[in-house]
Amino acid sequence: MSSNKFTLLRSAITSVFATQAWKDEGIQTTVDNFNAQLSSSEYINVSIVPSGFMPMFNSVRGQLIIQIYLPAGKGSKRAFEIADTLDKHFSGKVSLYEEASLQFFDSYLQQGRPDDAKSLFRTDYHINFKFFAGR
Amino acid sequence: MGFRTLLQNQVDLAFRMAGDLAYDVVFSSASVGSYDFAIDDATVTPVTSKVIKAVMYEEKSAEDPQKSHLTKKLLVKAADIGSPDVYDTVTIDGGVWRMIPPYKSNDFTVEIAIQRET
Repeated sequence: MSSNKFTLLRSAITSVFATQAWKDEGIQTTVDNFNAQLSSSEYINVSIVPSGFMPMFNSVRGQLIIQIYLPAGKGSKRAFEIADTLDKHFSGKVSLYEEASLQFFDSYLQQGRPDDAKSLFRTDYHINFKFFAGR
Repeated sequence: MGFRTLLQNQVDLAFRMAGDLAYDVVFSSASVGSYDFAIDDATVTPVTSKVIKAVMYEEKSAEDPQKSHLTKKLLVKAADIGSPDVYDTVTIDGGVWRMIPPYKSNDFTVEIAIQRET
């Protein structure tokens, strides 16, 4: 019997970015495989990466990886601020749904790496999660 | 007459002189707004479709024999397509080809790459 664990996982995470609380943060947000029309060179890209590590029935472990893009040449302070904002919404959070539960752990940063687009500077925010479908 | 107009006229002339070396293709552009996390989807809205002239200068198959896509490279007039992106398509003889990055423009002509599965 299908648990729909992947679609439930995705829905649980992307719904955070649909909330007014997230919109009030004022951070342009996009996802993998989408060419956004961006109004500034500061934005984040959301990647949900389920892992094959220790697979269990109806559950998924993985990482939420968020690429933080800033204009090149302006330092990395803003990346740290955005990371703290992401922590506010994800770090240590446990969310219960009718059919599932999602738990986030602590986050870490991979400090700024040059992006393919030379006009941008990129920092990756990583946070592990555990997701159980079919509560 | 300024240089820009002069060059544009020469590009127009070149495409006319190309005759049947230039194909009639349908260029369809689309617009896309921001990603809607409430529905976890994006809305791509067709904007325009028009017939333009395109000179094909390369077609190649996928290098991996397990893959089945074809890639064409076309030269078109910049005035006909503006700044293309992956949401735009080119229809050639009824077959719809997707735009793939990158494109190269000198403000008068644009080299674009398009791809479709066979």
